[in-house]
Amino acid sequence: MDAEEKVSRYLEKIKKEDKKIKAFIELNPNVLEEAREIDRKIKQRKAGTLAGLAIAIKSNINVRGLRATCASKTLENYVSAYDATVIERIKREDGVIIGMTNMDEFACGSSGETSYFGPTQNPAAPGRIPGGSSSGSAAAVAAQFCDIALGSDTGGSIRNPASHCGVVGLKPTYGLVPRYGLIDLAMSLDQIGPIARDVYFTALMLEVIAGYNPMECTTINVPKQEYSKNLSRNIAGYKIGFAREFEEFTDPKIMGVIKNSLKKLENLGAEIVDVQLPNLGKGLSTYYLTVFVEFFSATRKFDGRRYGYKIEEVCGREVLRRILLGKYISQKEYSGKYYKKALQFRSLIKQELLAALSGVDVIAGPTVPKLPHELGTKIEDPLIMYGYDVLTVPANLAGIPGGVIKAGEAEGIPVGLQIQGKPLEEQRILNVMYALESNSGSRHDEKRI
Amino acid sequence: MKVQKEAEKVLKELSEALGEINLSETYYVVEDINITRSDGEAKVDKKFREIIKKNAPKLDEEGSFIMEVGKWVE
Repeated sequence: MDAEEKVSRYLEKIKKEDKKIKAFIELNPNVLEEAREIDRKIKQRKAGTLAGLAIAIKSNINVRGLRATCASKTLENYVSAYDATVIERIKREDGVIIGMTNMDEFACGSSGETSYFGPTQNPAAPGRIPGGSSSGSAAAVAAQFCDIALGSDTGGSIRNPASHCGVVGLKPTYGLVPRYGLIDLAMSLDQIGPIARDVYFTALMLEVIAGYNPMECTTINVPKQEYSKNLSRNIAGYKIGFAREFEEFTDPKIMGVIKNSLKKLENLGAEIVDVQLPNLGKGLSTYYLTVFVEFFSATRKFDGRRYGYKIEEVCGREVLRRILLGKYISQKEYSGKYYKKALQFRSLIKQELLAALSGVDVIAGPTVPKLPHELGTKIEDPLIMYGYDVLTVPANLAGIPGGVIKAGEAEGIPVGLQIQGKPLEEQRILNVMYALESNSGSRHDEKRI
Repeated sequence: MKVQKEAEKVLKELSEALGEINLSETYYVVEDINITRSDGEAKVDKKFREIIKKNAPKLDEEGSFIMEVGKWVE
């Protein structure tokens, strides 16, 4: 099948099904023309590694000529004038951008319900939230509207929806993927990463988007890795850490699925080792106190003068709450009490996670402590909503990579196994996921368009 | 305002959950922040003007920007 035909099939499927799912905010009007151009390159044997693959992009990443709305009225008509570094790299490898995906407004949420364009449905568990904030990206992959999607992860925004939608997601090491062109939620925590239906596509996209960009101040200069070529199912001898503290926060139904997958890893030759994370619960406060301040700073440019609307006048409740909190904490007299304290705890979380990882290859555990709630459920207390992030925020605070793969189902709802690794050891995470995927037969090749 | 009250509650509960600590602060997890980057190469993008005009709050009939007068001079 050539790229044009494949993209046409995706577009047909989106047209039929996306009114209900709401994975996309905007489709690329030039996508068929671009696919035809790639078909020409394929015939001439000049095409790149993503040739003809349909890629969906979260609506907070700039794609020239398409809208980067952040799923907010603030930027509902904002057309990107340039490509983010990750988009330049995808285009260079002949990936076809199919459209911009729905998300929680300005990535402030873990449910996919705070979008100005309406909530996204979970294709893998109809009637339930898909998770967030990269809700549309995970849903687009799960609904087979694209081959691969990009999301961004500040406190779990790739891993949480990947878990709820039963797909593969990876948050890279902080600095491995350039953030240039990403509209930030919290710049010291944000990372762009892939969401795909299998580990191979996840690895392939990571190797395309990873790498130093001298124009971006926090990317790290490390040699390029060929993650997809180096994938190995052989995890015999791997030491996989598991922390008992995970169980304190997690629904027993989810823990049952996770423990089953740990047994599978053991059967594949890995050794399960106990690790300690006594301050796991403190990550949540540390994370949110940091995010409020950085988000407040990031939103000062949305003053409605040069483009869009003034954010405080049009945004949703969660965005406004975070702006108010950030404004309050940023006042000189309070920064020591809240922000600086959070930064000190960040050091503690980082030290603790790196110490736990020092004796093992990876740490495996649950991704989200609860099953996704039914769409439309009223959760009045924001702290209950923030609780969804307790198991994912530590990786962002420590800057380490974390991957998610479907471990099984509880009550017919997908449950994702989270695998965290040492900085820049994405290959080990991918290998563990690849072994598990091969063992559980959860690859979707047979269904692939 | 309801959101304001919720915000105060969130702040109180989050900060109480942390307790006390005496450690150095971590701002970025990467050690070498590249803040002295060199300038990029200038490129002409012929469509830039057209795209950026789509984002302008107001344009006149000829497509020129209508600028807002700062509230402080009114």
